Amino acid sequence: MATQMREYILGVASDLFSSQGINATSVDAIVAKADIAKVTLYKYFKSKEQLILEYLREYDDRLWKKLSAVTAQQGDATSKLSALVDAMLDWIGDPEFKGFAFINASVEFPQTENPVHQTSLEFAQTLRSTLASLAQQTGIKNADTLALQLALVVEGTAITERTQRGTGAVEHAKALAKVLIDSAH
Amino acid sequence: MQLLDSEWFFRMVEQQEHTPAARLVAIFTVAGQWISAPGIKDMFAGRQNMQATARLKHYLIETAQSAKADNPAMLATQLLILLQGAIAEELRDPGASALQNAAMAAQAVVVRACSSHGRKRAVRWSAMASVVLAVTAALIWQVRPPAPTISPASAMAMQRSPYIRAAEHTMPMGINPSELEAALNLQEKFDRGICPAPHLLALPQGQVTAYMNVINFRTPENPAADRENLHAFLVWFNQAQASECYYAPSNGHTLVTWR
Repeated sequence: MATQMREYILGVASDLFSSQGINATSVDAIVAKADIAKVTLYKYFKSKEQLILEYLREYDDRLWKKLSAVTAQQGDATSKLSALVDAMLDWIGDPEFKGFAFINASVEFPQTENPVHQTSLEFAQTLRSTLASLAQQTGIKNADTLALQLALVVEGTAITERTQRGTGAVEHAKALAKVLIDSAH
Repeated sequence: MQLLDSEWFFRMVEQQEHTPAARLVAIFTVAGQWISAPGIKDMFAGRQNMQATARLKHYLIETAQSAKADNPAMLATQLLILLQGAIAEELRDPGASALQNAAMAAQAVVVRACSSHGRKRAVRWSAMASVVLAVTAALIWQVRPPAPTISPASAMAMQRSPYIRAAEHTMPMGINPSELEAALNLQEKFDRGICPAPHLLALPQGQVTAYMNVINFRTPENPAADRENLHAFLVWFNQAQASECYYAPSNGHTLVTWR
């Protein structure tokens, strides 16, 4: 029961965070939407910050579960790398997509010493290191450079899709990623 | 990204490189300089709307057309994706050399997009020069304290390319972009005879240096002093001299032409 309540509150908060932004979502708004007492919220989460960090972690878990399912289907490292990038780009193209949580969080919390900022930085680094290790397996020399470039493509597409939906950004980004992977070899 | 829409940004890009293909890559160099100018990162703090402006996109499409890209609209979108990603990454993690890496990626995609007309070589060379410029310029900044470590990727890029040339037009460090633009606009008015040029000898020496550094795209020896001097010069000009500028009516009615 206790974990159910915790999950429920986190679910309500996550919806609000991703749809209207983290800073714009007050604790009062979460309490009102979940229809619970404020005391109940603080029983499960010490602070709003803890709620934000949990939200980011859960988001990250879900993202990686989805992505590792995609790469598991591929044979060699090059197709794994392409499939990973394509899967992220497809997700961006989904009409339900509201921006990557960690990217939005790092924009909302620009102070580098802030725990939320640091957590989102960690997530960005996980993405980069996953891309880098796949790139390394394909046998290219500048695996880190390619990984960073592909991460930039993913992030840039997320921003472009959010602001100018329907300009074909996802398809162009896939072609761009392909050129980068090809020319790194 | 509103500032990437301003006149000086395009002017810097055009100053930096002279072929359309190389300009497409130079966008990243200039954006890199712009973002490391003081106060710029703070302007972005807490903002979500980093969308590219219509003008930047238009510029990219036009330049891609002049570079004879196979699909100019697609190339422009791809470069904007890279640029937006790189700026976001640069803001989050300034040590990652995001814009340099994006410049290298831009080069790869520009070469590919413009390669089907037998001009691959020329494009590659001019685009390469731009990347080298980006790397050189970045190295120059990184020498300044506090010096972040030079990424192995950029060091490698320098070793691999024998075409290193000195950065000819780095942005005068430490100058506020809007004052930079004001000074460049003023110079254009002097050139076109709209405003009377001040007698340089009558101005304080520091102000002359600051002004000349800006219009010649020279890197100042003392950026802080240049910033103050340029500001003082612009304030003085607006108060004392701007009233003598003559703007001919655009309908041409009282325009005097010399034969």
